[in-house]
Amino acid sequence: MAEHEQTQIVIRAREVDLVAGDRLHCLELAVGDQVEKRCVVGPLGIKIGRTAPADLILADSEISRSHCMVALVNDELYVSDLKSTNGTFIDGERVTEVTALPVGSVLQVGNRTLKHEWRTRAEIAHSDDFDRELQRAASYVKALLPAPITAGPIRTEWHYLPSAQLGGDAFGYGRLSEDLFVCYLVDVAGHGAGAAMHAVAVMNQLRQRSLPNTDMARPELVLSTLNELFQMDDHAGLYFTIWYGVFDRRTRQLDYASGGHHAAYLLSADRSGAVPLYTRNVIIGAMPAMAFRQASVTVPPGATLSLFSDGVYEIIDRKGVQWSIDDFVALLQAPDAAEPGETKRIYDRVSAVADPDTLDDDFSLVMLTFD
Amino acid sequence: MNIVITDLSGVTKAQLSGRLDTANVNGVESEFTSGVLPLAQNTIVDLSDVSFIASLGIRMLLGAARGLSVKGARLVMFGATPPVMEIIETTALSDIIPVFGSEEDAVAAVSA
Repeated sequence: MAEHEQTQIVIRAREVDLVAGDRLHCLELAVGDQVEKRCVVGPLGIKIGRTAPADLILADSEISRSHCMVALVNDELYVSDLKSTNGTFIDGERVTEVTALPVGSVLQVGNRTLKHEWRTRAEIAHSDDFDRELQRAASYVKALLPAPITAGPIRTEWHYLPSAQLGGDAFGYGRLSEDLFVCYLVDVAGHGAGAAMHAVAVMNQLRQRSLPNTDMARPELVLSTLNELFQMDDHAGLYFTIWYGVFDRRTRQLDYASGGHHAAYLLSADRSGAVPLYTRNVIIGAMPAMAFRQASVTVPPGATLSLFSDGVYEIIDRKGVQWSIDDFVALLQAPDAAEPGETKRIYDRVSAVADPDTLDDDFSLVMLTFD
Repeated sequence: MNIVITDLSGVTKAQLSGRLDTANVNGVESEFTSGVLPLAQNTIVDLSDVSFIASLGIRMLLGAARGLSVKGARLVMFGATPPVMEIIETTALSDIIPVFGSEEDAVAAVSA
């Protein structure tokens, strides 16, 4: 046959994704319906364990340092247990010898489950793009947060760590007038870009220090207006909680209101006292035309106001005990608490005691000290 | 997290059990909503076996209450344990979705 008579088959790049050989074997760790982590299993296989040098490290006390091995043989996955303490399971069956892990089956190690998916590169790239978009959204939220104030009569510090799925926390503070200083923290229910976008929308309203026909120095009116502006039916079913306070340096009075939000705490200078600041108001956006109420407190010299989201204390500790807000307040009152870097130190303490699976919400802690 | 939905002679009863946390809500929200809303009748939610409610769980309950309200039906809750009741009170959710101590009181409230 002459060379010019040969048939040429051209496969366009888009069609390559449909070719079996282009697919990759993936282990996917999911939280709810979102993939939290994906690991592609290559020719060398992967070792799963709790610490390095495992290829896939999962922070779970039920997982051994070297727990199991997943190998790729003839385009199929096989699992072998590495004498782990708590065993390796495939679809509920304990692995006692090298066992096949079919596509769609679930590998359980400790408290974590990994699903075997067979993904095209396009699917993985799309998912990675989504992760990158979430990272960008997290960066944007972070860019809206105010810088710490390290000098002057009102000093602030904060620690903000968005969850892997990005929650809807945001906060702000600053001067409302020569004598008034405002601070607030919002927590949109839910995760992902939608919750973050909603938090940004609320933040942008508050950052302007202006709401329609509303005295921004009166927390009850601010919450009432936000409730009318952000009804959940008009905002994709999203609602949020808020804590909003205004400090008057002339009188040292702090007016505040919480909407569906737990208390903020006013800590005495020596941390011996922790006064909860809470007003019983409904969640913002849950129901129109609700009445909101505010309260006031006198701020003693040197006191610190601590605002935080529920992600800081809605955890289960490593003993399996559900934390309450009181457990977290006890950390705020620790003897060495009142030192620079306090918010980061408190985060470190929470993450040290929390079951890693349950520290799955945004962590937002803001502390404002009033000389 | 489990959901059991039954019909008590014209009143829907939704029995929830387990932790209504973020991961679990993602798994059961559509089952709960699709089980309760199409019936379009007064609904009581049994919380006696719920050990924890996260904000997404509150959103699930609020969404169902508002969806039923549009259809002229009410949603109430009963049997909340003290830790769950604390969450409900902190968020003032009970101002929107009433909470009762017993199933009988809940049925009586929606039947009144």
